[in-house]
Amino acid sequence: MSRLKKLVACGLVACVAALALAVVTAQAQDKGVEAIKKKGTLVVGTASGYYPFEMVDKKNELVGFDVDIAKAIAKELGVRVEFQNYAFAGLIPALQASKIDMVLAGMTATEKRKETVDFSDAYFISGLGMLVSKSVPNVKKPEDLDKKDYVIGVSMGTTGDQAATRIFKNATVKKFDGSALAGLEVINGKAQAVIHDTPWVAIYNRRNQETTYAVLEPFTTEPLGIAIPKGNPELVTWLNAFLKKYKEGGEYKKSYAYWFVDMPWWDSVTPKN
Amino acid sequence: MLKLNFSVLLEYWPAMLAGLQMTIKISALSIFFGTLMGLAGALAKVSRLRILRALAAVYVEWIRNTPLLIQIMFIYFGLGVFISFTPLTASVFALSFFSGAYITEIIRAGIQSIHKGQREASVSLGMTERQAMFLVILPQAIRRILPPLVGQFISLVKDSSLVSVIAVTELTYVAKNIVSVTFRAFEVWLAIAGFYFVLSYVLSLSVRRLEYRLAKSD
Repeated sequence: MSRLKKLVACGLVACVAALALAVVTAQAQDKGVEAIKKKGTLVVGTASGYYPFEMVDKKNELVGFDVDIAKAIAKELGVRVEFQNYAFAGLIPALQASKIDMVLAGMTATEKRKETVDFSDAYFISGLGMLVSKSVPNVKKPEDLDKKDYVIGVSMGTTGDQAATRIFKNATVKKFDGSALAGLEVINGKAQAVIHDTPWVAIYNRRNQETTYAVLEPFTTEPLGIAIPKGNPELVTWLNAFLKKYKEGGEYKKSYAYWFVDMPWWDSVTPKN
Repeated sequence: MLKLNFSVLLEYWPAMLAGLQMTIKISALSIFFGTLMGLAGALAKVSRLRILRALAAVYVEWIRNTPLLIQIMFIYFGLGVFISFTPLTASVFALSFFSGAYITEIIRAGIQSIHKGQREASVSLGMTERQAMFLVILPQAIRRILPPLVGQFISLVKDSSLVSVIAVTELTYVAKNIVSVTFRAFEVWLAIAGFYFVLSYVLSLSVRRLEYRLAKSD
């Protein structure tokens, strides 16, 4: 038994050491505007695959509406920008662990998230829609899908996940690392629908018109904001001022038209088929 | 400063236990089928039939030289286009195939470690080849390979965490889900690591006891 005791003791010591380290680093980090400028790099966390906010093109480069905003922020701060790609559900933990300075990932500023992180003002208003398999026609609202034996795919940790978990009492909600895998379930006929933001639904549907249709009338309102670690009011103020300027300037309009209206990026991201 | 709050663990305890149950179920099924695959593979590898030896070699090499994560994705999303697996079946299928390849090599090594003379003696006593294998060689071989075999089982328990990518509600999936709602990464992952540790450690302890008993009965 002494062997087991020794093992447990070792484990405890390791835990305490890890804890102490975590506390020390968490205290040592200053996450304000000046700290980022001093560091010379703005580290932005995102979760690619969320069309057209962040996606990887054929040259393996991260592009999209959020990527433009991140680059504009870095330019304004006079620093380089570095992107780190996480599963969506890993973004807030990454922010908490100081792996990244901010999150630009089409993240809705929800009350629950605000308990853990701070958000800038909304830079885009989105809503939840549905990507539905053609095997279940005439779906108009989420409640139409709440049947036993129905499977609803979502990207884990997104507002689509939260809404689906709340709404569906009879259908099964299956959670994936990213919307792309959830969509694949519908295409493979294993799920009846995916609940996700409308821009993504529109594009995923456009790419899979034989198997899916889109319900784009949003049934929620999703104000997308930039998430930063809690306790940096000065950074929030700075971001809000920046967003105001960015939205009023020509860049926002240009970026919006590029990613949502004209979509000249289509061929550089999607396969030809 | 980040404040730790372990009370979330209590709140999500039932979910974690359900995840633990699923991990145990997947692991047990995969250990069972994986061992059968491994036994079949090993017998094929020491077979006199060249075609069986070749088939077993192709199987082992393919599985051992590709990542398990890719095998899981391929079986579920790839083969899933043609065959409708449930996530659970796909997981057990992938994990059994994967561990079966390693177990093949472990059992084969065990069989070959038993001196040739034993087979010859059994046959000259009037046993058939099959009797010699199953009554004389394999029982000794299995005793000898128990430690690496259990090492493989423990790997399998830990590797089962990979099936969370195909939305099987096992421990890792449950943990990712809890973190996505509570944002309590440190507390939840520490607890989940604890679950895996206990599971694996109990497995290795019980086998150590079995080994001891076998040694005593010798």
